[in-house]
Amino acid sequence: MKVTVDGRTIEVPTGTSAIDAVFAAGLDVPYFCSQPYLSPIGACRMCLVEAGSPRKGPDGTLILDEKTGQPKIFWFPKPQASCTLMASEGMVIVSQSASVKKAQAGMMEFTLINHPLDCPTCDKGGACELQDRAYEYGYGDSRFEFDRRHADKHYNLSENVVLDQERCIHCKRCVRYFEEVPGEEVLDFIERGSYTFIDSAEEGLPSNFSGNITDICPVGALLDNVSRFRGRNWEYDHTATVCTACSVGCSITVDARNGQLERIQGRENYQVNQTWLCDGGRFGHTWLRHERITTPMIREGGTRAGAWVPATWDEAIRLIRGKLGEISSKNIGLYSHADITLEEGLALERFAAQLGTDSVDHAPRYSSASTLVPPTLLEVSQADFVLVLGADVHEEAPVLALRLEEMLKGGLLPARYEHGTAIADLRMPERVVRQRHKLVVFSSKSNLLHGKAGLAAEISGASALHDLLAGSAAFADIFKSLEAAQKPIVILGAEVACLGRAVLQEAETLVQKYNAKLLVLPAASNSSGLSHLQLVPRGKGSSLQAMQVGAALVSRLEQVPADFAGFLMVHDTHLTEAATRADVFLPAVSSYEKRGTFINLEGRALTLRGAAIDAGESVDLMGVIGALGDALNLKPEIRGVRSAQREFQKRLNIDLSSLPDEGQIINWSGTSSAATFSAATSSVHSSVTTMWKPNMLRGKNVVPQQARELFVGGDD
Amino acid sequence: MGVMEIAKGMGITLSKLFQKPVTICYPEQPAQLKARFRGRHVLTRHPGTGLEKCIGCSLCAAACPAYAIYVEAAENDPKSPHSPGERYASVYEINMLRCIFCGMCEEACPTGAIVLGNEFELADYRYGDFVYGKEDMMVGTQGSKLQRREARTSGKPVVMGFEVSVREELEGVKYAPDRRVSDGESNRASNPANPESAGRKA
Amino acid sequence: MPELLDLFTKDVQELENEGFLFTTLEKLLSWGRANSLWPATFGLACCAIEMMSSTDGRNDLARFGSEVFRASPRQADVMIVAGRLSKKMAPVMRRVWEQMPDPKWVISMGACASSGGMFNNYAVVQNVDSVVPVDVFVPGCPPRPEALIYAIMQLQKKVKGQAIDEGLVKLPMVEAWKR
Repeated sequence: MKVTVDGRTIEVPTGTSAIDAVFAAGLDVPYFCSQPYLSPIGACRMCLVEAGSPRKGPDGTLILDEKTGQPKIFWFPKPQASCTLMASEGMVIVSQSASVKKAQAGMMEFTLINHPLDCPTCDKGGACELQDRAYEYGYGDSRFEFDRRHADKHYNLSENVVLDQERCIHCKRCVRYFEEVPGEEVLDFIERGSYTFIDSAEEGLPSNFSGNITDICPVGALLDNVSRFRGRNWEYDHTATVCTACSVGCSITVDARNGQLERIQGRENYQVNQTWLCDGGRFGHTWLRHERITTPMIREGGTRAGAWVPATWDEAIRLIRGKLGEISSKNIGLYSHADITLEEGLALERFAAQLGTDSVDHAPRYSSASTLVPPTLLEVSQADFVLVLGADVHEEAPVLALRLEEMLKGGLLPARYEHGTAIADLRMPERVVRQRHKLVVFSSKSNLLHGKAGLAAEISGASALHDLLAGSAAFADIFKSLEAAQKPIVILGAEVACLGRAVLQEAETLVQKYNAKLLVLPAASNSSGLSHLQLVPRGKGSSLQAMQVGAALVSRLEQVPADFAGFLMVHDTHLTEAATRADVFLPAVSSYEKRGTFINLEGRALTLRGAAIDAGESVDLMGVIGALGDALNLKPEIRGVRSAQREFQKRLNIDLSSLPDEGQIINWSGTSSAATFSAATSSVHSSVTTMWKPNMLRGKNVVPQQARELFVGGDD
Repeated sequence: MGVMEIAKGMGITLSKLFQKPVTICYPEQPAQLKARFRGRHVLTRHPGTGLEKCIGCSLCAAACPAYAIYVEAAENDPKSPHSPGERYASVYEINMLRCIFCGMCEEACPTGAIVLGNEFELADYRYGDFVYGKEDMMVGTQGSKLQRREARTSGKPVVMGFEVSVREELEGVKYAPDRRVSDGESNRASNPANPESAGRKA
Repeated sequence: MPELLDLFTKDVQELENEGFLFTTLEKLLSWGRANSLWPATFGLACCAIEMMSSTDGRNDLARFGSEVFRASPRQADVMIVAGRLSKKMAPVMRRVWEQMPDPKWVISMGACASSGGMFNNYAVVQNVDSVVPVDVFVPGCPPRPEALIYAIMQLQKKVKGQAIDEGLVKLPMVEAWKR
């Protein structure tokens, strides 16, 4: 389809909106209400352009201009909102003419009539769409001489989101967002005309995804209360990295100021999180800055009863050398949390081999992992039948719930152009009827997904799976749907996945029977990556539950077995319960400060980049392994991200140092799989670790310790 | 060269003997400043309410070419606000050694809170003592840190070594009035002006 | 007890450590030193213009005994570093300072010398204190002559041992003795 924009003829696919045609032509139109992942409604009227198209006569041929002999362009009588105007064959769009400029500037003047212009005190200042567009397209002056609207300036919509009603320009992005993305209508317009304001019916915003409205608000009306007044937008050091709070791996921007993490914002990744984040990932970072320990510490007097005293790394290494000298290197245990990067995991694996120890473990993990290729998140959103067994998706992988919502809406994804995701995809309608019959949820406890499913029951996932496999007559409808479905997906939650190989085998059989795809929600954020490394006890090695070793390095785990009496080195960001029993404390960096690779639940490798956070002398696991090697006069094979990535280049034939922005699905075939490793496992993790609980973050003041528990987890 | 030329030249030289000396005996005599001279910054307050004009917007820090300004903002307690509106500067620091007294901060300030005053006697001994906080710059504070320190330890008032007609942007600022002293060594004692009262808001 | 000869071989601080107390003579010495601070010229940039004008008729630095700017460091007591110090100039300045006889002092004049000022770049030393020990810093860009005179007054106080810092710690008369 050919469209002419300001004299440039371009080729665009059918269904393209006029605004995307203008952007495709390399020109710019101001807009506020459009958002790539929301339905276009044309509320702000900012994207006015002149448009016209040829018309066909009664004989079915194009009406020609008598003078030129070309098809005659019939112009719309007035400028049109380009975000709700579908481009058609031969359409002519004028976006840069004087009359368009005048219309846009006039619209801007209208928008600014009731805007308070308190940019200096507004947290959005410097990153505000209205500010930028007013500068680019406005008159620079207002003819409005009357009283402006005055409304509530500081209104806490919830604990985490603060609303300034004066600044609102009624673009309706937030209202549409709640209806369309999480499917929870908690916000709406109240009153009419210039008295319109947004508010929620109940106290707070009862949604796990409320923070996203602070990202999409084009003005400073909805703001992040956690980072309120912590810094201006130009003062932050922005780092594009990945959230490791759960296994989805949403792309985030970490904003730090003066070496302190102040704000987390969503970043677009079409494949994974679109632009959305859950509230836990967005707001639950404050634990990091409270009571953090950034120097090594040793015990006064050298006994565990002694008080902690800060030490240098040299002193800590000397102490470790003294203690480990008495212990055989085979008797040293290496234990880590499962949210470490792939590179750190490899360093741990290689170092354990170097030490000759069999006691290496990571937690939380399932005793067994599926070898089937999981579906991608895009496949989830486009599936035609999803069976969720024993999963609380909103807890275990929250953004996956948004993809399920998308699936219920029909799996319509916005088109992608060279200039990015379609700004206004006219195929995306408002208020779509949800196809609830496409979702079936069985879990032992009712959760948020139950309300959205066509069929949901409070039965344990494992028994449901067993009955399904047995062909129970009660599930006849489900069998029918599974058989009819082209792209069915089975999602297995922690409740089922922790039960071990036998149950997993059942799920695999079920999936293969119906040609479905199996998505097992990983136990921890990087579990799907670490399960391909040999990070489980081998032979007679001691697992984390037993810890029958003379000395142990415990990295970022909350607890150690109560009967452990050996030499304990704890590597963590805070003084945890495990640290209170340690002999030496080694400071750790958080996931926000690490460089490396993270594998999400679909097996996608995503790049972590270190934010500009002042971590003092903290090091990552590779640094600790280096220190241990120093103490034992060993030279660890993997000493940095680069050497680990070279090793992965050999193993996987993939360059992890230059992954695309959207990540890359890793093909693990050919490498030793998790199943072979876990066969040696003696103990089974029966407890389920949910990494964090957004429900607890919502509507409550999160004290640091609590927030930390939510995040760092450990076995509870 | 004739005698006349020498006499003419000597005449000029000798005639200067009878002129008033041009030397301004600073510090005994105050330096005469122009109002537009840019010296140490002053953080002003709103007349009447006495609230701080500064809203902690950091625009001064953004405008500063020497990165001398550091601002941390916080939310006002509506019961006892520091400034009108929601936001105020909980930390406002200027490194006087980095500052080049260009006045960009004053130009950038949307509320006219930060204004460059006329004090220039800022010399001090330690690098770390040059970070001026809010209390060091708030209107009503007279003199540099060293001057106030000397005044504290000696019990004598701060005396400014200059005279100036204060420009109106410096709302509420009054520099110590004229003083005449004779003794060069202990000249700072005889000043009757009380620096504490000068410039302080009602 | 040290020999009488030690008085001539050891410096004041060493002897003080051994129990000698210099009172009257020290005061006399410091009075003399304070009132005849001969500056070594080290004008590097625009601050030098203000430094020069502090010796002119209007400001007359001579009133403080500092009128004789010495081009030879061997005859100078105080080095006024006036202007931004480039990294190439730093060793030269260090050498000039080392050539000055003890006791000696340094005034860092202006924003650039004291902190790099607005020249936060690869070429400019960010604080001359990293090259030579600075006794008095003078803010300003450039400081007016009166500000430099005020700084010299503060240096005189320091030379006389009357200086205290913000932590109310008494500062030594001479920051670094070098033989």
